[in-house]
Amino acid sequence: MPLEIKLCCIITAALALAALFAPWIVPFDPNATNILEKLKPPFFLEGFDGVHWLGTDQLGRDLLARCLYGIRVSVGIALLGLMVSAVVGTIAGLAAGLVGGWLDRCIMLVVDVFISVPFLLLVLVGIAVFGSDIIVLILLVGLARWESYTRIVRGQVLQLREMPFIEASRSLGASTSSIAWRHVLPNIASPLIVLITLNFPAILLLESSLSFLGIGVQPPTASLGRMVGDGRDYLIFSWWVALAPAVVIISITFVVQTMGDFLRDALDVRIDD
Amino acid sequence: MFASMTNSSIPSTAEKINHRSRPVLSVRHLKINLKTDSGNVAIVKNVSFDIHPGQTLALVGESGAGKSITSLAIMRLVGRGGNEEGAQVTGEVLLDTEQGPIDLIQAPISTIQMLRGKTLSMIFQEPMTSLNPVFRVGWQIAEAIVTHEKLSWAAAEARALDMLKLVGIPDPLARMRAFPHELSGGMRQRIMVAMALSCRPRLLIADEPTTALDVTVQAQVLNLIKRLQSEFGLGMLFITHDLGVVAQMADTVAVMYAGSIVEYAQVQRVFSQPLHPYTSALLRSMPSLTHDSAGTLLEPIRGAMPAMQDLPKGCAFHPRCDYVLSPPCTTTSIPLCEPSEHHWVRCVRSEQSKGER
Amino acid sequence: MQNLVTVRGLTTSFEVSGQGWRRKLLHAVDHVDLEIREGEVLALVGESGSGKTTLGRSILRLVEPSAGSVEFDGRELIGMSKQQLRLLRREMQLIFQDPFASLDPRMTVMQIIDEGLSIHRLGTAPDREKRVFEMLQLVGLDASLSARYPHALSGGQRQRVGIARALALRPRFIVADEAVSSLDVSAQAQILRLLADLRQALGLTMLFITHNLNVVKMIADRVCVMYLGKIVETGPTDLVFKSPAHPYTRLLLASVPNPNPLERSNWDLPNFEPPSGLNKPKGCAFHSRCPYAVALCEETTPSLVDAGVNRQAACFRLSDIPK
Repeated sequence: MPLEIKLCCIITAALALAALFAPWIVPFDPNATNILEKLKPPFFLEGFDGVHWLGTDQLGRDLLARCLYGIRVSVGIALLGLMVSAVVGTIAGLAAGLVGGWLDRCIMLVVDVFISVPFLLLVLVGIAVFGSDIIVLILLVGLARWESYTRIVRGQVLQLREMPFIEASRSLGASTSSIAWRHVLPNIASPLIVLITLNFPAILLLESSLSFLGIGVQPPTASLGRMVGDGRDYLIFSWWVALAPAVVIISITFVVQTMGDFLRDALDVRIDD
Repeated sequence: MFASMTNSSIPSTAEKINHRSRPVLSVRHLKINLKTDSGNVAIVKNVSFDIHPGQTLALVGESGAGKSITSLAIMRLVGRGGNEEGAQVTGEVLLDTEQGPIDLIQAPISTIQMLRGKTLSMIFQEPMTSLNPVFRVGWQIAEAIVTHEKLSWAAAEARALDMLKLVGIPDPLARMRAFPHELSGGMRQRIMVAMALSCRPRLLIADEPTTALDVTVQAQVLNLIKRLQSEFGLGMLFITHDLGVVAQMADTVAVMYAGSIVEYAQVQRVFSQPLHPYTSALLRSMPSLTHDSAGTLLEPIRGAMPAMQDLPKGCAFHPRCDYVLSPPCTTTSIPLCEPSEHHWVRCVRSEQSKGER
Repeated sequence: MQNLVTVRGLTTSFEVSGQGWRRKLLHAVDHVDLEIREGEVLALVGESGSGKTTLGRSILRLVEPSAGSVEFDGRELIGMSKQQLRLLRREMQLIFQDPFASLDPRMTVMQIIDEGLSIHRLGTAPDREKRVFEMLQLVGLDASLSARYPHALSGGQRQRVGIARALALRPRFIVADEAVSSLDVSAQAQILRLLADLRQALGLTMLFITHNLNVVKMIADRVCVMYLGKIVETGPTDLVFKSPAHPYTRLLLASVPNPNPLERSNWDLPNFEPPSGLNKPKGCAFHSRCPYAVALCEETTPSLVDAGVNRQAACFRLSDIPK
């Protein structure tokens, strides 16, 4: 594993652990406001009070705590959304590829419609209709890019269908579902994993953008995007309010993207065997 | 009608090989090293042979023996300026050109590019991947011609049409405008032959040109190649694993095993008096039409050819050999010797060597 | 000797896009009659476009025939329900051409050979494992290979795994579709030897599909020559090769390179391209390339007639062709 990938793994692990053990790392409640402590600078600036390592925001909330809890919220939504889109997309792709015929045409029609509509618009409409409840957010974000899984899975299935080992399975007496489970899924696992990894940053950014615009996660819940949005008004004098969450978002996105690219190259070698 | 043709014989090939004429291609101590994950591996260890004008040398062996990469090295498609990264080619490959002999290993790539297609041509196994699918066939031949000769496009197209007629394409005028996918495998291979011979090269390298073709089409294409070879006085390096094709096409045979030539002689000698155990085992293991099926069982050679990274010490064939002698076969590297005139063998169990190459 | 497989009037057609927008019908298998006796090895020989591969798969109903009948051990396969067919699959198996693509790269050798047994729920897991090791031994593979993946095996080894997989269900009938064509010379000889031994030991009936005439002599009792979807000649291997009756068989045999360098042939063969299956000429499919064709050959399609003891050929000119 090249050095930069090892670094990415370490960073990911560190962030994950930090988010998980947030209550033990920072003694502050991320939502506790304290106007007296507002806009305190972080440790690398003058005026650091020795207590709030990343400073505080305009309501006096500790930024380190908010970042760590924010990771939980943002990454949590993104991961769950990812699972939703992966499962929905894969099932659609399998059905389209294995069953074919009218089902294939229907599914691909839906896919084409989805691609033509600007996704953000759909999400905005969804939020307007169903509100900003976390479950709604997960489902809406989970609709992002579901069609990417469908197309890839369908393509792989169409290729696999022609392979002699699938025909061999049929000649042994296997049913379609047996073939899907035994042969198709293990063989599409690699591209699927890569796709999931590469889609994660996009979904994270989507959630962050929505929260930034104020229509995603609602206050007082800490979400990285929300924090950047809130920090907009203080960019000139208290820029650290927006900086910390922005850096976190960028780091996670960058790190996962890099690992996804590496994974794709590594797994491709085996696929070509 | 079909039965009559198998019995006619052609003049002895010994007469065709005039050892006093200068060879068209002279390969000496060709060695190809490849950089792999497990270090530097020699995939071709020591290959030497000559090809005279009008003569065909068949390079025979199983896949992995190094035949194809030898031909690619001759064409400088591997090595300095070639495709294969990390392949080092050493040795001497002298091509006899109008300007005298040129060493294909050392010459600058610009010289090689000038020679390719003009003095030295190659045809491959898969005509579909060697022909550009988006250009018409006549255009591709004409393009090959103008690259090498100072002809106008019209003249090149006229020559292309002549080549199509020469290779026996029916309705050649219409076929000039066809795309490769519109033609059958046999026709595409004929087009390949037409392109390769359009500038009257001196040497043709054919790498399994008929392996992918049906047997009746193969017969036609081999017939064509033989006819054109004698018309043009071409020297030919013919790579194949099919001993039947070797018997019908070759004047001399070089048998390759694990990167080295293990036997090198005229074709009749190789078939009637093979000196290397691998050659005789190969002959016995090939199913043949002329063998009487009653009782004659195939004798498969046990084991498999080792990968070039895992060569055993001593002779590469010794683990599969019935004649192995504990030293020297298992310990020392065996040199190529000439136990009888014009018959070279890399084996200590053949007759006493008379000289080393 | 009983017929294990009887084929009557089998036709398998595909829709192909012809010139332009029109979809044409390609009769890959065109009204074929065939009999395979129990315990015999029948070679099905032909070049590309002959329909031999499609015929093999049609008999097993891996490709659905368009018309005709296939009887296996007295039972009619065409029209049989999917469930009944699944059960019957245990008795007829296929060995594939490509040793690389016919094994799932994500499964171990053990899983590959076990698949058939597990699909039909034969025995408990330990029983099946025992059977897999038996099969590995039968095909000459070391038991330690059971945990390996296909990419770690050589072409010959992979083909042996494919054979083990086919034999695990103890079938009576094997269709070997170009089983040795993609193999190296050494591996080819080894696998042919293996198949001949297995056929003897297990009393298998085999349909051996190949384009390589050299191989036919080594393994087949009878041979069946196909051209453009039709059977043009059948008979015992020795006789057909020694004195072929049908002009196409003669062309085929004359085209095979003679491995005797002292007998060089001119190969002065008629330079005609084989016609495509889509534009089959009226009458005898071979007449456009046949030196003996007469007017009758262009008008009417010949059917198989007797051409000697146990031999048949589809040609009007049999008696006029010089030996």
